[in-house]
Amino acid sequence: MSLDFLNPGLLRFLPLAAIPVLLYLFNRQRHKRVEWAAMTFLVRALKKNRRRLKIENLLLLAVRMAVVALIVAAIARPAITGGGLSKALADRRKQVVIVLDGSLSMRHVDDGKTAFARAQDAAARIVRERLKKDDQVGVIVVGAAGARLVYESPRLVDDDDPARGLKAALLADLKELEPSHGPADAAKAFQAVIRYLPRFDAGEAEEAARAAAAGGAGAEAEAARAVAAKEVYFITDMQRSAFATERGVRDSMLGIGRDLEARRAALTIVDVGAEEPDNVAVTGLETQDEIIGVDITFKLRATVKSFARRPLKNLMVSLYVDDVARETKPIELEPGEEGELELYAVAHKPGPLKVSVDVSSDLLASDNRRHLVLEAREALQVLVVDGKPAPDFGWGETDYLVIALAPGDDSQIRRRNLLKPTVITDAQLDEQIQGAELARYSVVILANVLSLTDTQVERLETYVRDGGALLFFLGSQVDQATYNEKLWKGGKGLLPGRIAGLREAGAADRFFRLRAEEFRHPVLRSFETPEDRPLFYEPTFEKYLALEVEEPAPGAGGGGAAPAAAASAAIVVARFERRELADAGERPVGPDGGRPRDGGGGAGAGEAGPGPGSPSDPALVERRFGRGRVAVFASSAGKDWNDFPGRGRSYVPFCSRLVSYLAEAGTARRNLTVGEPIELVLPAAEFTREVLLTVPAEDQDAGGAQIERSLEQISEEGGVDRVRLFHPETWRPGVYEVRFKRQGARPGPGAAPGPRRDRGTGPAAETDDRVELFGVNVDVREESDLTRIDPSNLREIAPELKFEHVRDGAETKGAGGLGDQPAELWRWLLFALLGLLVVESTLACHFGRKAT
Amino acid sequence: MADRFTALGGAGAAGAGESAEDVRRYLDPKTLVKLARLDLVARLVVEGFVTGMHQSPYHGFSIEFAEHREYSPGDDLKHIDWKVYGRTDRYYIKQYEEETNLVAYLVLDTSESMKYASGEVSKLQYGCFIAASLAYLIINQQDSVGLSLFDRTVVKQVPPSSHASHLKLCLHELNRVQPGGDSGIGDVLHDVAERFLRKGLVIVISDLLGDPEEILVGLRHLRHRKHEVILFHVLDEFELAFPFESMAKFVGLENMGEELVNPLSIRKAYLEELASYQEALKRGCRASRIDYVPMDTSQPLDIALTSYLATRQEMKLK
Repeated sequence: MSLDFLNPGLLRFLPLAAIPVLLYLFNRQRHKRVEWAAMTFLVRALKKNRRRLKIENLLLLAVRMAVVALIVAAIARPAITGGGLSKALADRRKQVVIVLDGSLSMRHVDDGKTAFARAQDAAARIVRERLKKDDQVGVIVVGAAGARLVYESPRLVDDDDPARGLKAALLADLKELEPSHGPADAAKAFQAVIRYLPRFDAGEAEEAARAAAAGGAGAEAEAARAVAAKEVYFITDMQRSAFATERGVRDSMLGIGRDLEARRAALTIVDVGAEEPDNVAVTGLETQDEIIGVDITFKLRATVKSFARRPLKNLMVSLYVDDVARETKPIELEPGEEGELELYAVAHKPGPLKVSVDVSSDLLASDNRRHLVLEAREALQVLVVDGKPAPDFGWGETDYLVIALAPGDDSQIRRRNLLKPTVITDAQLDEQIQGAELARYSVVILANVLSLTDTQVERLETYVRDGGALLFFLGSQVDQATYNEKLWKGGKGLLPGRIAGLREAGAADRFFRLRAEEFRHPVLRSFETPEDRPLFYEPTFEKYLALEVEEPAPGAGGGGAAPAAAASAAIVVARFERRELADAGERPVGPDGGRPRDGGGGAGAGEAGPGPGSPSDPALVERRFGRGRVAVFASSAGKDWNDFPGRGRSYVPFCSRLVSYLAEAGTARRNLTVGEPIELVLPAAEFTREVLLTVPAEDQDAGGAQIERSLEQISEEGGVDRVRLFHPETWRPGVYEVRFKRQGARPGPGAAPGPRRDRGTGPAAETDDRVELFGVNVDVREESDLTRIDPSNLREIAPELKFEHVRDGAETKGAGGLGDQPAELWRWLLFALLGLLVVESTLACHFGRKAT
Repeated sequence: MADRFTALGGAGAAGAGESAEDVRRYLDPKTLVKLARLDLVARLVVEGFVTGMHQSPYHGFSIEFAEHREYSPGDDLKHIDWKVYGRTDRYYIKQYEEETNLVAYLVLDTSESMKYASGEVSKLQYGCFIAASLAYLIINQQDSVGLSLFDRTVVKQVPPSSHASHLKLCLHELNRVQPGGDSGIGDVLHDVAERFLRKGLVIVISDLLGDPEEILVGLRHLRHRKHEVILFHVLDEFELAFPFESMAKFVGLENMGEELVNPLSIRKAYLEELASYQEALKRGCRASRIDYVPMDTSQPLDIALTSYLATRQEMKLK
């Protein structure tokens, strides 16, 4: 048995116990002097009582010193550990909440054991040694999915023996727990505790009512439990990100300490983290496009970051395509460095393609692998509607555009190109958009089309809403009023902006050129490097149709409010800016540099373009519409209004990237983070309602578990009946496979089962099962950095949070350990203090030390 | 203050009327201490005391006519000489020749311990008031009075006389008295017992801070010499109650040393000691038929006069 103090620093005030002695001496010093005649009696009285007086004085002094000493000792919070006395004193009924940190970082292995396994051990020790009969207990696991209550309502311990009753069940349940693959917010854990604590009392009330009904000691039991001690154990690896961000403590942590204190819950943080955890993670894996061509080599960019405190050498990064190792490259990282690798792969079959990158394993395996699901296609069908066809090459609106999308006869280029344009005139449009015909195309391009009928607009809207992509090129033939009326519809139609009129450069030496809003946009990625940027500025424009766009960006220059939701808000990718001929051929300038003066107004019907100080008109605007995407290029696709196709070397990459980007619009989000739901919408008529979902196993190398899910029927405005797959439980990283069965389909003898089928003719062309893959990755931003937060640092940034920090494994070393929690004595000391005060008062009266 | 004196007047003064009550105020030592002249004190005390009585004590105890004196209120009307009234138109009282002339010996303790005063009046002053008042009364009763002042020994002796001028002498001595050295009352009592040759009334005024046994032996010696003895035991009210509360260093008068004491802790024991001492004295006095009169310096002086008159009456009856 050992005696310790929780606030040992306060013991230095113990000498204050000498105050009564000092007061006594001081009083003796400041006595008054009395000349006394009847000294005989006084002397005789003193002589007879001197011994008694001395004893009384000493006794009173001792009691008074003890009073002061007890006050100091009680404030220093003494606690005894071990031995029967500790147990006897700590023998109050307890309400215990055990919270396990189930974040990804708890999978870190140290000394052959994961932090979570150590947390389970610590929890088991609490159950075995701290819980006694009639205590209540609740267990909460906090992970990516938030706080999970292992027991909806607290359980009552019915036996002291860990091998029997609830304790045995608890221990078994604790073994079954698993950490998640996502971040855990300590504040969420505490909030869950705060919400859970009242359930103890609710349970108590029920039990008391039952006991009272049974007729007996219900009230007594209730009274006993009213003073039950509330203990909260948060077993964690003390990962900094669980408690704090770069700025300081998480906002959600504010007020937690106060709430816990208000509920009189004593918080103990049990630290099971490794002393200096190192980690390395694959933080990124991406390609330029998610849709790739069959047999076309594509480039992958993988980023690997070191969270270690020492340089890491000989790390091997491996690329897997459809679970087959393709390439391995070494990488060296300095502490905190993020390295980038370029990897190349190729898909040999159309359909979903699994790509993953793995870094040679360290002690936290979950973030060593990153998955990417791509879709390989043999071709992307593009419907090009030429609004102004011409018999001679070069004069038609889309002559150059088609060449740009499907360049020449060069076999090499052709083979690498996915886009397959089909050109029609606007007169043929009606045929092509009949029934399911339109769905064959990944992108529909309307180039300088005069106008559209209501039916055409309606069908196009349905097409886009279902995931299609529509691209407008404007031009001389465009009927602005009809476009605004039918296609813009006050912001609700397909067109992302209102056409506000023609803009012309005016004089021969004036022109417009493109200016990028941001080169990081996927469409402009080809011009991202400084070397490639001049290409983007090359083309010159004489005319364009000004678009008024409601942009989502708030603040400066925003012309009015943006009522549309963010998902459907228009994004301006590029703008026009006015230039003079003298500027042509100059080195590219920044977005705001070199803007020419207004040349004195444009000629003809058009107005002058943007002048100095006025905002630039959009050149390329895109917007989501339903599940699809719409883009509009404000000038012509042909040479009518610009020299973009003829002169600009940027025309081919620009158009090709733009169409490829739009083609991906309708595809589902295939690459997710742990916890993000899988969502997929399909036409109801084509598939049965049952799908087979294969969930990756806990061990990423093992086979997954198959579960059946039902599709949910949904109906949308103007659309055909659809079914939706919604699977929110993506708690494990890996690749999820969803297998849809077609209505009445029977695999023929020659039909190859499985997902690797050519769907190059469009999403509805299949007759067999359809397989979709979804890649789910861990959130490396928070969980891979295993930096610990020091308890003292935590106390600094969250001073409200009162907690005791206990290092796991310290329990055998006496005080502060888990196995044998110290029994606090301050309450007993206060009782003793009260008793001593009564004794002092009584003695003082009895000894005649108090004036009457 | 007026209330207090009214209360002190008691049942005896109830029928005396307003003026009598006012006069009795002068029996209070706190009032008397403000008077510089001891003759005034004595007169005030005695006249005040006499006014409150139903019968004048001045008619004396003689039977043969000796002289006339002017009538004063309280004199028995039967002693008025109506013949003289007829001649002179004034009231004169016939005075008679003393038959058995009383000799009273006032023995006053002037030791250092008598100077103690918790308030305005010290024990010595109080003793002087008693002595002066008694001397005045005795002389006015045509008896003889003598005065002895002592500390360790008798320091001043005024032989007894009944002349009116003798009162002045006594009062003069009392006026001059200063607290002296240590007290030796036991020896002094033996000494005066030998000195007072004529049988009389010995009135001892002292705080009696000494060995009670010695004091009682001395008193018995006086009794042995056939003296009647009245013992006025004068103590201060603080000495009787010991009301101190805070820590105090008590410095003994008469070289009794000093003690640092928490009075609250010792009060009970002190009072017990005092009570047992007083009890011993009282018991010894009763055994020797000595009139023991405990006096508190805050009390009015009429107690002393009453005690004297009672004893005087007893002596007359004998």
